[in-house]
Amino acid sequence: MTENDDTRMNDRPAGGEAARNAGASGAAGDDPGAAGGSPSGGFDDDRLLAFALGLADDPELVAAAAGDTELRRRLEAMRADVRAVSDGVNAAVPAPDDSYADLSQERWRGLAPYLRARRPARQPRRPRAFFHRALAPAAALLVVAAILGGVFALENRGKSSSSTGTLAGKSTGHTAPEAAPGAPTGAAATPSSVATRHLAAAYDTVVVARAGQVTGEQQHFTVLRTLKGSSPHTLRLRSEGGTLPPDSLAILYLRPAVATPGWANSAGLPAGALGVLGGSQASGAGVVGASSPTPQLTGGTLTQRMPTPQPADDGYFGPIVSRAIAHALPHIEVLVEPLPPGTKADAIQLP
Amino acid sequence: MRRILFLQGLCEEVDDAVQEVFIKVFRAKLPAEETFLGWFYTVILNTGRDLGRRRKTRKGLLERLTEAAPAEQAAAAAGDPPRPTDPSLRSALAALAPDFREVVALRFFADLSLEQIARCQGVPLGTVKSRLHGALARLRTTLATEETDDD
Repeated sequence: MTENDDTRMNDRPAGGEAARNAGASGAAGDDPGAAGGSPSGGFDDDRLLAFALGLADDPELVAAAAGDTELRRRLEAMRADVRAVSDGVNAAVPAPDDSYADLSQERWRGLAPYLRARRPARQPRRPRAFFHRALAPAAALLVVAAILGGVFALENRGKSSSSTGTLAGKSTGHTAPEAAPGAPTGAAATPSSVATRHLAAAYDTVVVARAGQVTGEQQHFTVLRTLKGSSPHTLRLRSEGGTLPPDSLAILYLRPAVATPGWANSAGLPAGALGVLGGSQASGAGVVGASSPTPQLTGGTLTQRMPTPQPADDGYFGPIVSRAIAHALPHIEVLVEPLPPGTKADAIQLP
Repeated sequence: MRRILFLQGLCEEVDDAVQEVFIKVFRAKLPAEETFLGWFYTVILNTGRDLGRRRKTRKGLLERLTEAAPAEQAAAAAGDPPRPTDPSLRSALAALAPDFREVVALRFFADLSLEQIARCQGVPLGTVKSRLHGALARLRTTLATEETDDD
């Protein structure tokens, strides 16, 4: 329904005009003194009707009615008219019969489906619920399996690479002795390499010793076994190629330094100590620069520090074995061959 | 609801209209509680208008209101308390524009405020006031004329 309906003159009351006419007639009837329908106090029926219907507050009307009996009467009459119209409109619509509220009546057949109690509809299996119940755990298992597989692969790759990695030799040149073909290796291995055999043949004294503490440039060695010749129980050596880790085992090859000035004989060495060396006397090339003091072995220990042997003019300093550490012993040439960790001293045998 | 739909002209289809209103309410997503009343009466008005446009018979409201008079007379004959019948008022109601009748119905049957009526009809508050004032003036005039005639 549009606003155009409101403009239909035949249906639409003439607004205020009709009300004024009605009010005028009413006013004329109620107020004989009024000529031509002029309302008392300047309040026409339109205004009274609007106030009676609650359409607008009218404090001016309220104030005027308080002091005007006629105005109050008109206002009460207007309110009574509104009540009469309301009653008339209510009466104009016929009342329903007594069974109107009975929902089983045929007239309410259309409402029957909505009034029956229904079981909750079975909810279709929602993809979201299926995901939570089935797919999510499976996905979690796959992820865990992938992680474990990746870790396993990395570990295997690490092991293979570590087995092919270079065995970093210690800065002191400590390496496992090369094993001659057919020779046993490991803790029970003997110094069976060719070089080792050569050293054993070239040196007068061969011992198995345990490295001790390092003090400055010197390191103690405790002789565990004498494989060749004879040796004091302890040796203190000045390292020129590094030191060994304490408690590690090594093979010491000892011989008198070649062309050591003042090395006349082994008289400076106690008998039985480095006895092999005592008999050696070198001349010519060899270690030079050694001063005269004769090394004294006291209690099996060389306590007197001797100058560091200097290489000879020809640069020969003695056999250098890459696997050994050259420990300078005054007037005694020492080669130290570190043994692999775990090597047992009793297992070392000369070839 | 029944009386509102009746005044919209759905006299013999009023029960169908009532059903249709309830079905719409059952199917609809109900609004918040504070706005439910206005929404409910808007559904009633719209249903009445829709059915009024689709009704097969073209009887006017006056005829429908007039047809209801015999039932009241029968009730009076049966000893029921007489209802205040007023054929002139029925004529006046039937003569009102539908929008005016809706305002009258919502004001007197549903006891809605002017603001609620404005929301139900979707018109400004001033328009509702004008419609109600005009409808009451016409109906009041009819009653006053009847009293004068009776006198």
